[in-house]
Amino acid sequence: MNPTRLAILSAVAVLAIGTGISVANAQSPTEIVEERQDHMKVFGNAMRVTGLYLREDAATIEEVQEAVMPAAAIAPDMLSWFPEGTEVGVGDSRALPIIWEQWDDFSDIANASAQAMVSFEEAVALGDPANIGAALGQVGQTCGTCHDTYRAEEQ
Amino acid sequence: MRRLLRLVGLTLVVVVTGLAAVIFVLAPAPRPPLAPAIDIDPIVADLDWQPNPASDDRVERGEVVFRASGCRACHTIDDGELLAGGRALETPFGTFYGPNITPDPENGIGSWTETEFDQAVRQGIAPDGSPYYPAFPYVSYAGMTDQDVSDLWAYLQTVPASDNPSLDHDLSLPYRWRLPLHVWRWLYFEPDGVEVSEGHPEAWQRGVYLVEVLGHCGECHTPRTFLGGLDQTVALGGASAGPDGGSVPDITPRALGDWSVSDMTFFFNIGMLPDGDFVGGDMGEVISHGTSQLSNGDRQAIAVYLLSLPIPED
Repeated sequence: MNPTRLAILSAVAVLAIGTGISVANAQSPTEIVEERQDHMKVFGNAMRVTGLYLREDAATIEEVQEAVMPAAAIAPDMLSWFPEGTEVGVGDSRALPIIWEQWDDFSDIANASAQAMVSFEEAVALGDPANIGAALGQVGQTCGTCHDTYRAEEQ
Repeated sequence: MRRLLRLVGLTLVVVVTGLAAVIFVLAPAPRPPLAPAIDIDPIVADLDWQPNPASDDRVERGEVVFRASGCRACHTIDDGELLAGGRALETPFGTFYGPNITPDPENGIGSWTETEFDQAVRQGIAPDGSPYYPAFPYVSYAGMTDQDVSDLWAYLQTVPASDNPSLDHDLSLPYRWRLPLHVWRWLYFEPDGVEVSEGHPEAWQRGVYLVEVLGHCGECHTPRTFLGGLDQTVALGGASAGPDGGSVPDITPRALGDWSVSDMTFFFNIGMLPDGDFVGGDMGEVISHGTSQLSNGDRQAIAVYLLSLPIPED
């Protein structure tokens, strides 16, 4: 077979397989909302455990590291959890439609948050409480900023 | 002629009686002197609470007053010059804009005397004698100590002057008239500030002062009557019309009963709720520019007082 044709054929094959996988993975909007909320709970848990550690030694640094690692691992994917069609009204979504009207601003906050999460994970790895506290505050600020504008009030 | 006089007299009596009746109905019951609703001694005993160390530096002390009083929030726009004015405060009466309070003599308060400043802050009266709208929380600030007003004045002198002109408030028609504010003051303003009962721990006393006076927390967290006065029977019990239109949460033990002093102190330090979520918006600002800059003792004092609040009656 001529190399050009081979290349085209392989490309088509790869595409076809890829499409197959993504179709198999297609989730309903409600499932996307649920999964997003699970991701947010991973964040919340990382913050909460760190708070316990910082405040009253109610958690060990190992527990903090264990809680923060999965949060830092998923943080860079945050924007992909917000496809259109997953706003308030879908499941118990609290994502306001303004997210997709102001996608650039929303993305900036999400990216800043992922960045802050990287520094937070580094601080946790080093284990100095003062730095961990400061880094936690930085992450928290991005959480708060975004929730304030883009999340509906709890019903 | 006599009949006419009698008619006028009668009308006058009816009008005055009616007005008195209306005011009698509207007049809020005086707030009883504040006292802890629970036994706070065990809570305080656990804290090893320390008051702020004494300082000889007026400006340094004034900065603490400035942080605790939240001046920045209303007198500075995002990314704007500090205290140069402009932040919009949306209320059911219209939109208020915090004025420029930098030392600029033209557009700020640079031409004021310290006495005029004191009168503005604690009595709500401008140097020209006109009353301020209660969007400026002078009703809370009325309880400020002489020392704190003076230190705050000293601190404000150190802020860079800005010639940014203050914006006019944008109010709906009946509220543009300042004369009724005198009646409003008569109904809702206690010139000496909130009354506090004596004989309670110092941490609690400090908490009252930070929450009720400097922090003016009730200005957002307490619901208002239709005349815009604070409904103190529901003090700090949450309000439906906050500064940005949204609702403002209840911060009495009815809502925060399961928070510890440590939960609250940490919240006022970095803004995290016990479940790991964070607040943003106006409260985020209160924390980043205000409570996070205070001493840990001050944050604890706020917590002690909030946990001691009575459950609202509504």
